[in-house]
Amino acid sequence: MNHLRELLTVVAFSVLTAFAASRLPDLESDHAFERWIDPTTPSARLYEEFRENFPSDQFILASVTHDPPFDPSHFDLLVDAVSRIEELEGVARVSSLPTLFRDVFGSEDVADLAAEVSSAPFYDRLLISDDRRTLGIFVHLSSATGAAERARVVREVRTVLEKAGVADAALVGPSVLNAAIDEVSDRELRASLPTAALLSTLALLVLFGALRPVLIALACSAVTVIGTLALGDLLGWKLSMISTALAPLIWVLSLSGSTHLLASYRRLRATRPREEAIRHAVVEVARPCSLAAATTAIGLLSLTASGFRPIREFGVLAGAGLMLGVIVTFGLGRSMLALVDTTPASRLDLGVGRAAGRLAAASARHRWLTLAVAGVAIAAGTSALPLLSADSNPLRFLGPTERVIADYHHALEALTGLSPLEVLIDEVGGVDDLVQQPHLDELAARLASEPGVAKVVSPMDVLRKMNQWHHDLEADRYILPTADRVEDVLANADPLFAAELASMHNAEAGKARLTALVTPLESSDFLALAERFQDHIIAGGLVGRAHPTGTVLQLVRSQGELVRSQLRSLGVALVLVFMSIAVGLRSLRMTLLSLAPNLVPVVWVFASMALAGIPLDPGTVMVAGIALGIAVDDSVHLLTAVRRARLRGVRPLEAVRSSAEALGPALCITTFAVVAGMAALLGSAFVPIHYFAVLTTAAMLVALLADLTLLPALLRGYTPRPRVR
Amino acid sequence: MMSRLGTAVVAVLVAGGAAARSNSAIADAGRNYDLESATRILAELDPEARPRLVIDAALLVAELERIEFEQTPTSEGVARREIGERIDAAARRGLDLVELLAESSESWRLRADLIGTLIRSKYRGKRHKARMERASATAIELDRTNAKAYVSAAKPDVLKPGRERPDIEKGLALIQRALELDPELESALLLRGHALWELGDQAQARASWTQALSLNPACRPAEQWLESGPPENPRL
Repeated sequence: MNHLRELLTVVAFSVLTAFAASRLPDLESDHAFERWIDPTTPSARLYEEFRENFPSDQFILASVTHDPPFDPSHFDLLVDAVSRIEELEGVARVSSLPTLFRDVFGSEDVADLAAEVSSAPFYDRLLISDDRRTLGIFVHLSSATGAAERARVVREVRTVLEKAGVADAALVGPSVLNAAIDEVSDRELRASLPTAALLSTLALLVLFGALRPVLIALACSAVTVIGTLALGDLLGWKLSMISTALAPLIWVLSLSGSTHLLASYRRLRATRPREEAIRHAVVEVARPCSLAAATTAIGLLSLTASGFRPIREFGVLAGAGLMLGVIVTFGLGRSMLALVDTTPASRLDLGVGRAAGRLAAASARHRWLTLAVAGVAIAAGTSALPLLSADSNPLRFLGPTERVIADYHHALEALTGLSPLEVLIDEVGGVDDLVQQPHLDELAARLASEPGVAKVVSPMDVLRKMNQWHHDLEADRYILPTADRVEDVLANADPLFAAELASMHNAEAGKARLTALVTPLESSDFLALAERFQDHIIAGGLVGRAHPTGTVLQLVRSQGELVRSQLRSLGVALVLVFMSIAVGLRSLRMTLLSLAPNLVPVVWVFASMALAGIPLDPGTVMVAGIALGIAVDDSVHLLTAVRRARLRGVRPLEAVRSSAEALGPALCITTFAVVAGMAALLGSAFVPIHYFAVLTTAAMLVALLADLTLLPALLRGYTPRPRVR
Repeated sequence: MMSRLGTAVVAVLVAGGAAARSNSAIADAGRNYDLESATRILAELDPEARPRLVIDAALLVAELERIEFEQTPTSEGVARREIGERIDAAARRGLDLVELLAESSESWRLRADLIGTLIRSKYRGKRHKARMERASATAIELDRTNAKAYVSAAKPDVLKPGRERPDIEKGLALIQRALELDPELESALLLRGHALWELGDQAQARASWTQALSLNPACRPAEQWLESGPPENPRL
């Protein structure tokens, strides 16, 4: 045995891994919503037009409840806070009654401010609640602000409010929710991943019954994951919410490869010298491992056809990671085996193998019963699929104990809707034209009548308020100014209201916007609301001139398209995977036999989601892909083993039993080690991580069960044709 | 009869002398920007005996308090409101008494200036500006040589933020008229400096404030504005 060569291999991998690990701190994650908007779609172009003509629709809302609300000393605190918030980088402006109190009422006449607020509905359900106890401070963010900057502004706004003595302010809005989701997901991953890794390692220790094979398996998986992530960094790619599935996927599949090598070696080591056992083990598992990795990688590469860049990047990285896993297993894993050796298979290993063999043999013996049960399971799973919903509500990502969720409920109940749905209106002309278009007002009233719409902010309301101020605040002058008085009203308008009007009406471009503040809805309900907005636009005679748009609508549409795109990719992946199996095994019959066992986990992942009420979203839909990868991995190993046994002339039942017995330990070790790790994530407060753990566990167990029961039953009748050389 | 007449004459002379002393004291307090003295004089004066003096004292107190108010940042709400209440109290006292004066250009000018001290925010501008403009216009109408009335009329045009420049130029024309009538009118020189500063002519603005300071070395606003410019958001 050339120990020097093996040592050099280990050193080379160590050096490369150290280099790769040094890149990981530079690896950035970018959860910006802009990454999930396909800029080529008509709705994205409309949204871009909206953003070109109006300031950003991103805001932070601080909802502050105080009794009595118009308490001068409380307003002093808020004025102080608002003044500091206005100075923060990334803040475009602040709309609030404290701002009005400071700029227009000179921080003096709070009772007069209260009278002004009650004189017209202008401020209602926007800057003050109907019960007059809760104030809303809208912090408008500048359009150039990116996701990281928005998160920073959220933190700074919270700090300012705390320092100003308004620590009980409820901070809400899309930017706040995104920042909270990032924070909670990072926190949960930091807290649960070490536990998951520990539990997974403990499970490996128990199942292997020795430390050395565990170290080899863990080293192979760790090197593969680090290498894959570093590749992402070298390519200049950023992690996204989809990429969170990357590390577990690579970990699981690479663990599977190295476990097969180790299990095979340990089995052979009982009867052969170390060098020979290694050589035979490599010969035995190299082909199925490479084939399994290649098929899954090809399936994942189908994601490169997606319209979303993060999905394309995920496909490339995951595919590359799988192939890297093969190299690491048969490079580093093999060399480590040569250097450290391991004990032969333990009694537990042998026991697990025998149990797997018996299960496979029993399933094959009672093939019709097995097929019937599997058929019923597939039918049951398929029948549950219509219950699957593609809805998504980011509020459900976080547990009810998270502060931002309590804040959302408070702000929603007390104040207003928090999801803006914009209507961009063309050809409205200047302000003097705007006041002569009653249908815009009618449209605003129609939109406001929709359930779920808390408030519609319109430029006409700003003009009414300006007119009222122009006429010395007389309440009965809260009406639109006549066209001939518009110029006068504008010339004497307070800059505060002028800025408000400019944010709603772009006089130069002749465009206006109506902003409907909507309560949180399921994505399908939000889309339905946008459809009804379209109906109102048609009924209001504004066809072709008014269009629903906005960040939230874009995200909801993108998310739907994302799910559809991933489902399409999954379909393409299925075809590619089975084509790869067919090419790899050079057997159409084996490929057809492997169809059902590989589809069962996918069907059951979706069925579990449907039955548990877990919606199909960009995160959960990834698990189906992982399920497919795991199932294919297991079945390719079994198919190869059975085929080899049958070619050696072993009888069908015995071929199935002995193959399952040989592969059982590896299949079970991989599955139970991952399931043990996932158990640590089941209690996560970040709901997508919880769902990921539940579904991956289900997928792994179903894949194992299908490969040890359904596949043997199907393979019982398989007789390979001898290859003609 | 004679003795009674004599007593009456003496009383008038005494009263006249006291009035002259009070008038002089008010003028001194105004000249020195001495809020404490002005407040004491206002408290000591009998409104029934000398309403005009009380009005002058009330206006002085309101205007001097106003300087304090402008120097108090908006973040100090409690302090601003306390000063504001004192300004309002003095101004309302003056406004109540000005109704008792015979109609004249000066009574309307006093009315305009007293209302002006009430206007410390845009909101208050909305509430009081029209009354102030009417009062200053009436003062000018009744006496076109009342220099102070032109300054009162110029204030809304010069000090209202966010208005167009022509308004400042209109205000500047009124101030020029006031200075033609009284070249040493301190309030006109201060306001002219302010208008010129707003128009971007800092050199001329400084020249105007320097002139006010040379005429009255105790002119605190001129001193401060020469050092650091006028307040950013002045009202009336």
